[in-house]
Amino acid sequence: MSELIKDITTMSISYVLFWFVISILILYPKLSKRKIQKRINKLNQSNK
Amino acid sequence: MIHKFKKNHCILIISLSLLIINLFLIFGLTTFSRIVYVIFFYHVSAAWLSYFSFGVSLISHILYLKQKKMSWSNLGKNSIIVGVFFVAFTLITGSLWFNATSGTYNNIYWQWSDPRQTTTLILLLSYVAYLIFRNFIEEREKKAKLSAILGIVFFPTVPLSYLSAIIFTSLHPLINPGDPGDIYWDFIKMLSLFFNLIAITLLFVYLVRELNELDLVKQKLQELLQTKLEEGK
Repeated sequence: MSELIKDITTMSISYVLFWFVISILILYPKLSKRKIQKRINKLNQSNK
Repeated sequence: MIHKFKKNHCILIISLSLLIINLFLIFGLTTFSRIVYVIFFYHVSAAWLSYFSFGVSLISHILYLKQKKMSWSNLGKNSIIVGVFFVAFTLITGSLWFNATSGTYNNIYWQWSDPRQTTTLILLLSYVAYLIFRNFIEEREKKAKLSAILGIVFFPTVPLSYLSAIIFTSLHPLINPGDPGDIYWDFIKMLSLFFNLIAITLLFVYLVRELNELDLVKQKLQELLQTKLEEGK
């Protein structure tokens, strides 16, 4: 593999990883909040 | 609530837009002898964000110990969560960059003798230990107090990581402003880097606010469960 292809591969891995980290950090609180909120609603409904 | 929702999402949209605009700035206007040097923008931005996050966590932990407000403790913990992810990213990209530039891809990703790599790994492990430790304590007040102390104790690993490449002999390159031989130093590159730093700092604000809201929802659930348990008795 030529150096240019290796350079592009290394750079792409880094770039994809960057967005992967950002996506996890954005999605984790959103999904967890939704899950907990559903549980809260269920608990509130069963209390009524 | 709607106002809060909109404000936080505006921060996210601005941050992501800046990151995308900057991508065009990096690929359109900056020139490097090798394309792999583009890692520089993301590696440095992530390193900055991790140091910044741990700095915020230090201030939050000190304020918690002074004022005993749970929100400070949560802010400290949430800053550390963001910081840990970005410091891990910094280490991985640093290793990839090292492999690319130390020779012509000799599969050398790690040098234990390099002070920057080693001290940054210590920094990462310290804060991972903080998160594990915090998770193990059940009682809220005790958890906040002990983790605040631990957060303060671990903070010296941050300046140690930063200064290691300056004080000791390191393979890590340093930016030398004004040096014509410095491949990272020119107006457009610094502008792109500055753009990235603003974008990623805004992202930090968004993430910490979201994580703080998650903590509030978790607390609400715990209170509801507690009430239900007491009613059952």
